[in-house]
Amino acid sequence: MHPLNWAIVLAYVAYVLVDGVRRSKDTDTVEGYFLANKSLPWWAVGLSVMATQLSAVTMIGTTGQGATDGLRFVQFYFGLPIAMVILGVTLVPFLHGSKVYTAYEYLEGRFDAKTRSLTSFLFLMSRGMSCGTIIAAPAVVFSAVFGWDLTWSVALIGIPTVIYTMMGGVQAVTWADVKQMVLIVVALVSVVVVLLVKMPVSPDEALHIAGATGRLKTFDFSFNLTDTYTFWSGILGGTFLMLSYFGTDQSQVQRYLTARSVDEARSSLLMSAYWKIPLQALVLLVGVLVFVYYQFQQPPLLFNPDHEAEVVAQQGARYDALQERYSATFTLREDAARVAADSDGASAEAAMGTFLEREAEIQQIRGEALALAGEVTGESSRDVNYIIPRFVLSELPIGLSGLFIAGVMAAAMSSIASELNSLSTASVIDFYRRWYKPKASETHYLRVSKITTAFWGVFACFVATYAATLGSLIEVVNRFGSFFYGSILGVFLLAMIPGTGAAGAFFGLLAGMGCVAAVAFGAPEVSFLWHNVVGALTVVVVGMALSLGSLGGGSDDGAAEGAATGP
Amino acid sequence: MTADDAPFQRAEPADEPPRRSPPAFRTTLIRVLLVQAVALVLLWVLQARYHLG
Repeated sequence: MHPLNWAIVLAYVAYVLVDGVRRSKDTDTVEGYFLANKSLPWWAVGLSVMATQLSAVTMIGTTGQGATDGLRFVQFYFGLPIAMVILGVTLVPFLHGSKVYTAYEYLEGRFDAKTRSLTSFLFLMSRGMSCGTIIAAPAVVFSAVFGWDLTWSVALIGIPTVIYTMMGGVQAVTWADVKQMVLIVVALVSVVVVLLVKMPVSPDEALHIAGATGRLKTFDFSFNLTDTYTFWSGILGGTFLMLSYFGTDQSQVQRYLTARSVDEARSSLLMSAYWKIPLQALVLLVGVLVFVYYQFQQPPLLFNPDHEAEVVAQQGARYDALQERYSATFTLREDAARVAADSDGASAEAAMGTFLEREAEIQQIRGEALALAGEVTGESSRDVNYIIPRFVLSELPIGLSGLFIAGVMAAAMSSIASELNSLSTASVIDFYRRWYKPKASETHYLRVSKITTAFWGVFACFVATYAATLGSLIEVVNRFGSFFYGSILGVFLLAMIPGTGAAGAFFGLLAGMGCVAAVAFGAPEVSFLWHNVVGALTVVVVGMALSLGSLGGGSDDGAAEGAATGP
Repeated sequence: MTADDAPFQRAEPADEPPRRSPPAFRTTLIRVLLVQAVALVLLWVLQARYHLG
């Protein structure tokens, strides 16, 4: 990469670090460190909410998914505005008004200490692991693209993030998120502009090519429980997922607990409701335009440079043969695309038919190359994650490549920082202060909070190093996390139902996770977005049934307590 | 305050931007629904115009 690009990346890292450390001056109490004394404006919190959700996986993986699969992934977010509105009128006023540090703290007042501890523990487990994978995803790609040792990539992303999160607490995290979000959007828009300028065909013709290959098919109204990205799974499963994520995941709840008032907290969430779908469509559109750009500029047969090098070294002859077929077919496809773009009527249609035939051949050759790479390396390819980084480094002008890489780092760091901050909060408030040292000085808790942030940072970097080498573990961890989301949401829903009690919540939570585990292992087979619906409904039904039974027996103290403190 | 005093006033600290109140929830809600409707219609038009099949 050009020195100017490196200068941009390093300047970004240095700025975030210095700015974050500067914020530490304002955090000398636990409330200041974890909640910024509830002093942050709604727009800053709103941008922080969005930056936390948008990780480097979005910048690298989702753009790549746009290139290979088109816009249909945007359906995943259709439930988000609905969820934000529901949370705005239910959970947000409740949590913000109840003076808690963590969402789980509220569950003790409503149910009992063990329900609070179990939900908080589940959060720590799933978030602790996922934080590692969020570092691992860009670190693996950086290592392959720049030829670095993985440890250095993890360190470059992880260490500055841990330092500014540890020193500056939630203030540093939020204000860094604001700048990182701006950087991310600028980087994405710049890439779109460059793509449109460099494209040898008009935007209308580019969209015709994308549409002909199915990349602009956004809506799928089929109702199939095993298909992840449909309109219905997005609207129903997505709503439950987003309710769980924004309503019960401490990494998000803590963002809006820092807002000045309930109204400001609501407005911060509604900012995501406004912008998430357009932003996600922009992210996918970058991928779609890269796909069209590569119709006129031959891309590598394999995008993962590590796999490409290994295949060349071990199966050079087979790879050369594939490369020869690929180049010949690419030229034919490019010619057909140009004719389709330049002509009208019947000749354009005929050329588009030829183009689609050649495109199918190209996909077959790429499939053979990926299979060869899998055979040689023994790993699944994940080639999709390398499409955008290779494009950025080889096709973008000097300076803009650096800006985009800085944008990827910003996306990674903003998510990691929020998660470390929330992991520290849950550890200190829900466990250390609750069970180990309930009465200590502010200085003591502040010191422990900083140490805990550092601990989770080191833990996440450690997980990242190993998760990256055990490729499939990342998928396992993601699915592991989806076990809990719906069930935890179920506990919060149960908390809003008058008369439900502690035993119902605790055993309902266990039953919810059991049901999600059953459907996750295929009895019956259901796509993972629906796991959230299954988990939440099971907890509510089992919890209500047990609470009614207990009330009949008159033995559930938690029910009486819950009725007194419910919303 | 006179015009001459202006240069000697303390500037707003960079960390504390001027406070802006959020719009009322109902107003925001209507705007959210409108923006989503526009976004979905645009995506639908994109699919209807360019998608083959």
